[in-house]
Amino acid sequence: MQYKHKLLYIGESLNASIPKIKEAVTNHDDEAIKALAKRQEECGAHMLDLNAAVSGQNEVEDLAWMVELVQSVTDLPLVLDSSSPEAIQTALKVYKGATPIISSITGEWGEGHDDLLSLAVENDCGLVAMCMDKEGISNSAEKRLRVAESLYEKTTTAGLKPENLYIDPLVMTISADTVAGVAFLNLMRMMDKNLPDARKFCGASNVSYGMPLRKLINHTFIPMIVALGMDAFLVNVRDQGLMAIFKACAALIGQDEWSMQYITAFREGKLDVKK
Amino acid sequence: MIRSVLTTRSLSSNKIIFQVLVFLSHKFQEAKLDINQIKETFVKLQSEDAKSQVQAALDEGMDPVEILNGGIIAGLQEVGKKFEEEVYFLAELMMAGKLGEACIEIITPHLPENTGPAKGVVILGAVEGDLHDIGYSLVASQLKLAGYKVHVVGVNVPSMKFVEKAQELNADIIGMSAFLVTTIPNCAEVVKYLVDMNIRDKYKVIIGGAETSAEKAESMGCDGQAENAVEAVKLCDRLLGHA
Repeated sequence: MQYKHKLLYIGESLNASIPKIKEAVTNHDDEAIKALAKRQEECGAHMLDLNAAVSGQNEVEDLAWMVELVQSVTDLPLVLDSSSPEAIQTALKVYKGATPIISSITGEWGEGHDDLLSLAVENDCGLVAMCMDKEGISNSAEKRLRVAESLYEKTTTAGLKPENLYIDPLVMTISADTVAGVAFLNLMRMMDKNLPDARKFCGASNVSYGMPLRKLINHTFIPMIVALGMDAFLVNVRDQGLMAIFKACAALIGQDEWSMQYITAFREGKLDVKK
Repeated sequence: MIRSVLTTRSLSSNKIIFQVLVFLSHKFQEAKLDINQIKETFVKLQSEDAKSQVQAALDEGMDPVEILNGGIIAGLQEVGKKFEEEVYFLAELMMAGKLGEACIEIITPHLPENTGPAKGVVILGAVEGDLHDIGYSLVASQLKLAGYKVHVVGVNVPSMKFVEKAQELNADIIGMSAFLVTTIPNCAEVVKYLVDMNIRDKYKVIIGGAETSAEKAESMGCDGQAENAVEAVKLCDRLLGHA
């Protein structure tokens, strides 16, 4: 294991599938969006994910609105999260500053995926690729690895830099499948071997869906996948305990020289997670 | 065992009577394996015990239809209720589904040929562009256990395929799963096809998935929406007049 990509924490909270944000998007509540963007930055997010998809609303306009609004209060780069290529294209037009990540494409090459890929190549920005294809999400680690490999092949051939490809191996809940966790860990091992250059991206909290005390499962799962090479995390950065775990992880995988960030965080009282 | 007890001369007669009583009470308990016990074992999700009790009940000559309805199905309904009350977690509901399937497998060869027709035929799948299968798989399992005949058409299903399958299998209900804001409108497309082909009233159309709601279902001309697999069974029962 090389751990060559720095751990990346992406704030997940500006997502319209969360009822409060859905309301803020529907009513174009500027202040609610701005406050949450600021809050996530203060909590240590490296990037912020923006998803403005509310059915019955105009996502193309809403995502662009959200981008401009968030960029008025923070310089953090953004993840433009939409299943509508048109919404992403429009959002990119108003986007300023450090390169964003486009989220996402899948192995089921649909309309608009070529556009997203060329946008990512032209703008030299990140691209999230999910390990699912027309047959859905396979519960076999080998099959998902094959989807990952074909996505790698397709995107890098088109000119995307490997380090701009964020492969999402898709974390599934252990509530629905006893071996979902094991399959994921095995997939991580295979991806490290076969696709060492690509970055690995995930929404880790899916693993605990339906479980009691989800935090405990999440906090246990994250160090396990960090150890196996996961490096980009779409997470609730407002979870202080989680951010402390990340600091410890970074020190443990040699990404924190002399553990200075860890020690500094300790002195600032940021590792006190009893609250 | 009785003989060995009775022939042990060293035992006092009181002790012998006591031992006989213990033996008989064991015998009595064994015979007491009743339908509620099977149900309770099921509700407690004691997999191995539930399976062996079902087998034991069959061996004892208990009516298989009674074991099925009063034990397994009643147990599943109780588990579903506990899930809705947030006493049981999703993993427990999934486990109960698997246990139910295993018990039904044990019991099926003993069931009379015609235990009555299925409650209805349901087509289930994820709409075009949608690749999530966990949700509808759980719905399929609960519907089957509730007595429905279920045909799963898979993920990423073109709208017309739902219609064709429904016609081919003479379905009662078309159930669609949609998890994304962008794929939900495909549910409306299926309804539109049914209307255009003048067969809308032949089928009940229901939807489910993280981003769906009862209001969306209504606005798209569907007959209902369910939040989870337990509700989906109730919805189908209600739509087909089984409730």
